[in-house]
Amino acid sequence: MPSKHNKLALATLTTCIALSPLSTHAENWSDKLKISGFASANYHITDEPLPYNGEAGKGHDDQGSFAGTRLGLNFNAEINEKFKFAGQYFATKEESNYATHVDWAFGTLKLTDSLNLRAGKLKFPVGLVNEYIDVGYAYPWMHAPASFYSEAGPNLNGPQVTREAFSGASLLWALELGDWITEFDLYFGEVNLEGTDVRKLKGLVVNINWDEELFFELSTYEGNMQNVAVEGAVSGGSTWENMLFLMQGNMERADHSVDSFGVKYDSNNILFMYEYADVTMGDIVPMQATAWYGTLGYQAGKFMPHITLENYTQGDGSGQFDDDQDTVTVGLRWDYISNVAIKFELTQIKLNQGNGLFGYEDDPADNTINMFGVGIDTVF
Amino acid sequence: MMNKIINIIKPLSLVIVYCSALFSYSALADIAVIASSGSATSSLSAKDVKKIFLGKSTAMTPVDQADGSATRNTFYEKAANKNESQMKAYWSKMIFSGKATPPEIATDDAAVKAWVASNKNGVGYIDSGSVDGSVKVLLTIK
Repeated sequence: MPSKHNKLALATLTTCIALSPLSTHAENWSDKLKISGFASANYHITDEPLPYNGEAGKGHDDQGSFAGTRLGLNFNAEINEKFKFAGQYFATKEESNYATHVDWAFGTLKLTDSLNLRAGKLKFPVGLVNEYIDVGYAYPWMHAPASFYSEAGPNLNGPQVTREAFSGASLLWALELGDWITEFDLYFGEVNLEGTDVRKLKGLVVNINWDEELFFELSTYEGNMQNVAVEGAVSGGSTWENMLFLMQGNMERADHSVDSFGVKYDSNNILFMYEYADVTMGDIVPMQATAWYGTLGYQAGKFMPHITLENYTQGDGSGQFDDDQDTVTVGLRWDYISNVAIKFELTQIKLNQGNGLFGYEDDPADNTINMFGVGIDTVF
Repeated sequence: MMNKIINIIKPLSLVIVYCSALFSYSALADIAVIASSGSATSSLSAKDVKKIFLGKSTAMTPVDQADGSATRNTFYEKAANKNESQMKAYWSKMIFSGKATPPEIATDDAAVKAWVASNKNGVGYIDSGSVDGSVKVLLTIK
């Protein structure tokens, strides 16, 4: 059954379509519709049997994994001068099969030259790369830094800074002052996750852009956790299951909030990115988290060597369930031919406390884990 | 509050340590930004051109040159300070986030001149040596 917010998003989308002047003729559709695609094939291997950043079959371990291999098809339809529609069909490798879904699909109604209303299933606007996070070709890494853009599931660690997509509406307002363009994205809606929902989601993102070279992003959002699946307590003391049971029990109706800040410089062959996020989950102190990463890359012809430092910290400082993970990645992007990039990465993960993005259940054999990755990205 | 600010700045300073100011320069041909000789627009600033061709302004309708062409690469290096790879990455993020679609493509200078001649609000770019009386030069990028 569609929720209140889904109905609202549908109603808003319908209104957008109804308000748009319908001047398009059928014979013009080949001009109006553009189809694009992207694909990434990734291979990672670590020196640790436990999977990193995902459950078994989805994370990376010492057996080697093609997890993260993905394909997307994108449709952009300029219905008329006032209204356009875009959507993306997405397939990603999960265990032995590929899971497919509509990644996002939304309509954009141009209210004025600087004000747009979007409605439908929208990419979550939190994080500098989250709106195109699956498009490996668009950034230097094989995948976005896991400490910030964690892919961990509901039963695993991770700061949970951002989400894949939300159902709802967004009001985008662009303010231009000289060389500076400031975009305000005010959005509301809901997120349906595996094992929980985030309802009454509301947030504001402010993007400040200097001449398409220097970007700042300030973001804040809050949502209410509902329908949280509780796994059930396990006898025998403070196992990860009992911890999870306690936290899940307290999460119902808790307000999940995230404040984040990002900066990006992309010009003169230099790429610099930094993002920081502060996460709270009601008054559940063990789920408070901070996450940050910084990347520096230099474009030398077809090659971009880059380095990324990351940290993810979670917990109340008691040491019992705390996580503190540092990550260093050295990588190389090679624009091999037009529209095809080959990537190599060496990552070292250092667990200062807890299990970091290796999950609650078992402890990694060593506190320092190494990972090698090679991948190929394309757009078409 | 102070602790929060320190928490933000501390890792940022770690990253900035790795920064170095490395810039590149190469000598490239002049590019003429053109419109139809009957266009109502008489000139554009470098900033206007950058916004139009990056999909940030709808003041005019742009046309691109063929992917990988020397004129196209030179234009974006001069007008947007981005090389071929950076431009492809830029349009990837715009297309696959549903925010904008890239300009139409004309194969060469002659095709760009023909395209702007038939598009009243169109704007394109060609090698400055290809300019003739059929088009109006809105900006020359040196």
